[in-house]
Amino acid sequence: MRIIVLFIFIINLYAQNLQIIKYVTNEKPKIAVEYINLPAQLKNILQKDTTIISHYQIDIKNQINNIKLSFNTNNYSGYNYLLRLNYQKNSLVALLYDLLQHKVVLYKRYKIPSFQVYPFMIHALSYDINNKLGFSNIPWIKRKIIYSIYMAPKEQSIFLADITLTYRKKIISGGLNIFPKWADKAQTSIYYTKLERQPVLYKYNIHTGAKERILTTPGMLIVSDVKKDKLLLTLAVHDQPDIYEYDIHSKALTRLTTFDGIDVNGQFYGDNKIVFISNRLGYPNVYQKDLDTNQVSKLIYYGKNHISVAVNKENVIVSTRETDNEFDNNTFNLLLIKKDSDVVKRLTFNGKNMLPRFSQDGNTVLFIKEYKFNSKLGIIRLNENKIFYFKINRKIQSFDF
Amino acid sequence: MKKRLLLVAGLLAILTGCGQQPELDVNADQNKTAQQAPAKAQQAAQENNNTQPTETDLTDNTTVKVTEDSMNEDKLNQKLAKDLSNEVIHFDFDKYNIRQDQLPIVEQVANILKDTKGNFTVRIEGNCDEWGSDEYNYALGLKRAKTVKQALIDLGVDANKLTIISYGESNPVCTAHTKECWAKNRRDNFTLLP
Repeated sequence: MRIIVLFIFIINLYAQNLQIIKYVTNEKPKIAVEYINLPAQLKNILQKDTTIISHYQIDIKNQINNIKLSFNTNNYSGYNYLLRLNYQKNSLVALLYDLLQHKVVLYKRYKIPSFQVYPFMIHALSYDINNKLGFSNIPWIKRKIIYSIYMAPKEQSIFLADITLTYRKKIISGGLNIFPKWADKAQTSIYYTKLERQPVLYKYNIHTGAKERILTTPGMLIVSDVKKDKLLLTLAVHDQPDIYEYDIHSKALTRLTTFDGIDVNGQFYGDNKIVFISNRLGYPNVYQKDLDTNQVSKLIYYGKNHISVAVNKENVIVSTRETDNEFDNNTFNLLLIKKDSDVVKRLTFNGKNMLPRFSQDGNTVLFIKEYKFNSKLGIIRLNENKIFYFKINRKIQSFDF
Repeated sequence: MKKRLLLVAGLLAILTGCGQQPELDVNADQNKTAQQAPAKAQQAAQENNNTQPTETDLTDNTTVKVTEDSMNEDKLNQKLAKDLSNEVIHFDFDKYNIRQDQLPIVEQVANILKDTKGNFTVRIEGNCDEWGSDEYNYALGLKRAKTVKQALIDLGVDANKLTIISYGESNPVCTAHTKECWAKNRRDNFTLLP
């Protein structure tokens, strides 16, 4: 009995100074957010970013007078971090304080040239917060999106946007401008096709507005993929849609497929392979070609009617037509398939889901969903097992990020 | 001095003499003159007519012929463009082969093109309904255009007068999201290029 009482006494003696730091498996770190000045639009983007990143939670609490840290940490019970923000004249100062470690982990000023590009400023902040909290890198959140929008028959314009489609700017208009594709990692220029007397491929600098005519052929001309100084094109040089490789510097054009049907959507894959869609067996499916040996083989053996594809290492995402209704709505869903295995995961369940695009790290996939004839930009977080949508009130023809 | 004056007088006489009109014998030649006047007037008029170069140029045969040819060519092109705009070939869902019921239209287009003289280029435009994905749909549209192009060549149309393009689903004739509208959009159009 005396031993028990002594034991209880010792526990109580240390209880006040004993802090049990434990992250329950599904509990995300919580950040209390205070601000001197933070417009509603910035709060909105901060909330959206937090939701789609899905690594931590934020709670926008109250307005304060000073960003400096003179406060009682006991006031932030239940929070792991304190974020203080002050926005003034296109400049945002952010201070992120670790309440448990008692140290500043981020103290930075973010500047923008004008208020209209504020979403990019918040995305940069979210990127840094995610990094400082020790989570996997999310460079995709800072990427610019380009997409072409159907405006009227034979009229499509190209827009520049942020990942939430909050910032939108028309950069190319007049006529049929289709299939925009980023020309470089820094996102300074894009390729796009304009349907004039015949299709013409242009390169356009989004900062200077400089436009360069690259190539023209009759029939069809699309940039499917870009890898340094090489482009994969779907061309119809001889009235036949095939995949070609184009060297930007030497201007050499090399035909890579010769099938008499449809070969499209070429993607660079590995060191010296390409992946593409072909209907060489009577229906569209995913194939790969070894450019050293010229061997062509199926990439995946699950299902058929795969009309577009994206690849990242062992992961393959296909847009598969699951209905064949000539007189009714059709369904195209995204499937995630592990190459060389039977593992298949359905990512979407209804509507028309197309144009999957992997982020560089491979954990995030962007795509276009048409549901009841509206377009949405979809963001799939594979590890977090979540999908988010940003709606746009027009039909997106193609996009890149 | 005297010699100089005589010389000047003589020169003056010559000069004035050159300017003098011959005297008319009023009595003897009056009728004759009266008759000559309208004749001369006529002659002068004729001479004037013959010396109006502008009118002569306008009636130049070479100029008139070229103008007529140009006008005829414009009319033929307008007629061709109009005839072609009335011809549309429709396709089945996800197919690019020419249906049996569409063959008469292909033949009609072939006849129109073969009967039209002169230099022209016709663009066959392949289109799709809204069901499909980006590149695949554009390729399907192109195959539809190519199939018809080949059929026209097989029917005797000069291949050099044909070119093709795909608009995918970017050039619909209707946007109603109904089966009837989708069927209308799965088509080939014909456009006379300038």
